[in-house]
Amino acid sequence: MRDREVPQPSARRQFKYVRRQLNIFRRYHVSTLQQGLILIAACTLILYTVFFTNVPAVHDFFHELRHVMGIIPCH
Amino acid sequence: MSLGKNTLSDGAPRPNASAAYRWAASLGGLVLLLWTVEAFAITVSLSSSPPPETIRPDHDMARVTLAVQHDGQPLTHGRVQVKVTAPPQPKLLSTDFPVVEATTLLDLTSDLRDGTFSFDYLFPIRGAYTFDVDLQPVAGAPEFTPATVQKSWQIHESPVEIRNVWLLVLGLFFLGGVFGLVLARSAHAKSALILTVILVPTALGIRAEGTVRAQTESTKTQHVVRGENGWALQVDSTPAQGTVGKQVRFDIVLTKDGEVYAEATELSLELYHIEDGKPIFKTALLTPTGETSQQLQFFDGAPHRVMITAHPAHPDRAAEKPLQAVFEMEVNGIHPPLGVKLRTLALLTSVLTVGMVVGWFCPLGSKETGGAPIC
Repeated sequence: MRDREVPQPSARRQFKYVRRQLNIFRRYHVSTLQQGLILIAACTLILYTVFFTNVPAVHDFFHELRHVMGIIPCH
Repeated sequence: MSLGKNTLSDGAPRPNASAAYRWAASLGGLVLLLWTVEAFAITVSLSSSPPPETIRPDHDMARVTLAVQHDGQPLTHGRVQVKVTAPPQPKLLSTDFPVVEATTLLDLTSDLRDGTFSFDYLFPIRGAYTFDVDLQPVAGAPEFTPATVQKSWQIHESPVEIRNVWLLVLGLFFLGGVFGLVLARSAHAKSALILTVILVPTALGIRAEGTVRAQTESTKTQHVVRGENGWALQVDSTPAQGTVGKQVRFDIVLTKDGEVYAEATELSLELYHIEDGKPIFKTALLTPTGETSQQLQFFDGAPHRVMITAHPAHPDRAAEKPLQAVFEMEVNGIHPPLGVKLRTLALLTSVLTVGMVVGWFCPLGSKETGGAPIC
């Protein structure tokens, strides 16, 4: 006897669900200026991870990318 | 009233003809003296193929040729020491190898061949390189006054890398603009924006894989290659592992029946970047005996292959088979200084922030009502 298939929610429903869960800014009344600062901080973190971190796994993965940029210090 | 001998008809003083002749003679003598000094002086010219202004750092292997003339003729017998120093630290934008900035890259010593000495080198970074050339006479050859010459070369950044930097800057500016635009106008889109910002690094973190290189240090390694008829080549590397920013000294000794070979020896030295699959340095040296010491710096923290070949230079020994020592050398990379990284990061973040401000004030679309307060 075959197991009954559980219907999976569509990608659109999943995205809406995640979006609802992540909509913390509205829930906690974060001002737009604070949102902007959080975005800048998040992007700075991403830039640091991609271009500057010394963690060997991350460094080795982005090594070539760092060198083709010309201004990114590497070793 | 009669005019004096040294006055003209209009009363102006007459130029003294003998004084003018003396001035002309002095000038001629000075020119002759300068020409003589120039003709009998040591002149050093430095050239490369491709020319310095077209060399792309970390891309083009350049053949650097040093030509020395004495009395207007190639200096056939002389010992040259060439020290190449990397460009100083830039004030604003870092290079991709900041640890090698302002350090000595090569320190080579060789006898001249037909007044020239050449080496192939992969210049690592952009900027002004300094060549310190020291010329000394060799025993048993015509004497000349030892000379020290300093030359400087400006090497420009690769056009491809300049384009990449501009693409990065424009990309960050555009991304910041989109952020500013969304923050100012669409309350609903903010969630998607935050979702993207959070998911992208997560995805990148999952994909990131790599290996951690062991960084063990030892003081010295020795490689000995034995050939036929009592010949042997011994290469000592100090330290055993290279470190970016520091030189490695190769003490090379060619021996015959256990004794250092006492006559002129031809050596070739080649460094090969194993990961990138390209040579970074190659030269042929002529040393007065079978013993020499050369210092080089590896500018990238990656494994390299070192190939050293030695052979007696005397034509009578031409039948002797050259001895070659080949070994791999691990090079420890030094992470760039935190200040350099933070400076570059601040520049990139400021581009993003400026883009965000521009996006915020961009009169595009309509602002939604009921969004979050500005402050």
